[in-house]
Amino acid sequence: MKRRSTVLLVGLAVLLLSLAQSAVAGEIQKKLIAESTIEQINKRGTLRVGMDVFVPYAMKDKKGELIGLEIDVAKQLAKDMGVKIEFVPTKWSGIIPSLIAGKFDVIIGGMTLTPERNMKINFTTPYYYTGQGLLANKKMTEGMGIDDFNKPEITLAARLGSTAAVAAKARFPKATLRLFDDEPAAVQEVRNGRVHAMVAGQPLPSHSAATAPELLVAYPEQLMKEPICFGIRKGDVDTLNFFNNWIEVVKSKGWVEERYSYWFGSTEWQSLVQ
Amino acid sequence: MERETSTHSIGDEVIIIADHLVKTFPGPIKALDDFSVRVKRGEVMVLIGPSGSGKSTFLRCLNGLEAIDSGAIVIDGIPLDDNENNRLAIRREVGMVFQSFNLFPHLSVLENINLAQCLVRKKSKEKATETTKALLNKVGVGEKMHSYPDDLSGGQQQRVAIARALALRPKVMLFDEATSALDPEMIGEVLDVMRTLAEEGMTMVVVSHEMGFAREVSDRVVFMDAGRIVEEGATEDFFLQPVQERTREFLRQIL
Repeated sequence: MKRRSTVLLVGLAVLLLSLAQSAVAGEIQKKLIAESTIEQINKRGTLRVGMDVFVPYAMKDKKGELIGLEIDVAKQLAKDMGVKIEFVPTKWSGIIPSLIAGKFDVIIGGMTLTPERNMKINFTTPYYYTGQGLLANKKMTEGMGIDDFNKPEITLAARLGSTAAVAAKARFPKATLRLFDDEPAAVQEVRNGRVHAMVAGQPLPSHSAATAPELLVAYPEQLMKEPICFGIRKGDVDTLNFFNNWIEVVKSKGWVEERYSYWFGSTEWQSLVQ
Repeated sequence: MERETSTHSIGDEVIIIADHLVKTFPGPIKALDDFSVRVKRGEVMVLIGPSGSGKSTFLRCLNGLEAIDSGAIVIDGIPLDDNENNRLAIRREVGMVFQSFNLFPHLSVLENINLAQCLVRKKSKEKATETTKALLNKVGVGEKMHSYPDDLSGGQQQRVAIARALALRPKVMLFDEATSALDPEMIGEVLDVMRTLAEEGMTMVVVSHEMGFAREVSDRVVFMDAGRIVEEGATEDFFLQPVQERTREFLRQIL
């Protein structure tokens, strides 16, 4: 008899405890929703974007206004959210700590996803890819396809220690690689015909080709795809979900692609800056 | 104090990139400790510093005689890496003159200089001899063509060694204490040859204790200690207004 009542008591206690727990869980969930960045942006009525100036991702035009691919993306995002936008220019080297410290809501600045960065912050799905491109001497490479550059008689240039040098070695192992201290020196080698082509991060190849179309040609192929994502603080599922879905929507409309080719493929915008 | 300004011109183009070089010898001794330097085409750079500071190690790394632990060396765009063709290309483009002359005693002066031209540049004996004659005249030992090294003075032997290095038409010349083993009266004749080369626009990296030469011919002086750069500067500034106390102390000792 005594044993049975003990069992009953214990059962009752467990029941009460689990009820209390679910009530606590509900509270926590409400708190999480209220504290999520997306809710904060909504309440504040302003999206705060962390970025640094880097051509053509974000730069100042003649009037001192910010323009660039990332500026377009951030403005469109704010518009779709129905809030105002505030740019928070931040030194690139300190941009991740500033995000974690809450100085702004999101990094939209052409940031490539790397495992090292991902250990500190969360990333959305990529909204576009950038990468390494090939800039060739027009005369020397007439009629050549991208695979024709992987031959021993081909000489390529890249900047010492750059991702481009790694990409060149990986994609064109048979070609001879020449290394230079900076990109302008390598471009000069291509122009002079001392090398057939150079590998460099976009948009340098397309922009260089646009400035001297009679001498240089940029190949449309991306040699090494690097995913560009928004960076947000860890532990915020709601914000991640919203941004991911926004990216999905604008990507499927081809809007990001169109903006990318405007800023990276053409030099039309240069009259706005100079 | 007036300094004779060097007459050669320097381009903007970087021909030697040495980037974050580290070289450790068993001990362990850090002969090069994150050493970085750039040399432009046509520039004459003199390296000075106490013995064991890493000057010679740097020169030996530049043409691949010593392998670096980490960092990067690029000469005229060619990376000094695992690629055998690149290593050979750099050996061809970089001439080196040592403290000891290392001439083959059983070969005549002519044969000593012809050797590499025929083996490396695959020249015919006639073509090689033509080049050799011109080079020997240039370094002022044309009449010694058929002599053997033992019959020459130290200064003459070193000038033959310079001619031998030039025979491969290098783009860069390295001099590792080229006058240190010479009697004082012979130093001048070797320095004269080096001065002529500089005036002709040869890119040169020179390890030397000849401060007079450094002052007169070089464009830039780099003071090294313990595998690092203590101070570097345009030659005139370096000697007139050294910034670092360590540099002043060193210059007081040797000037």
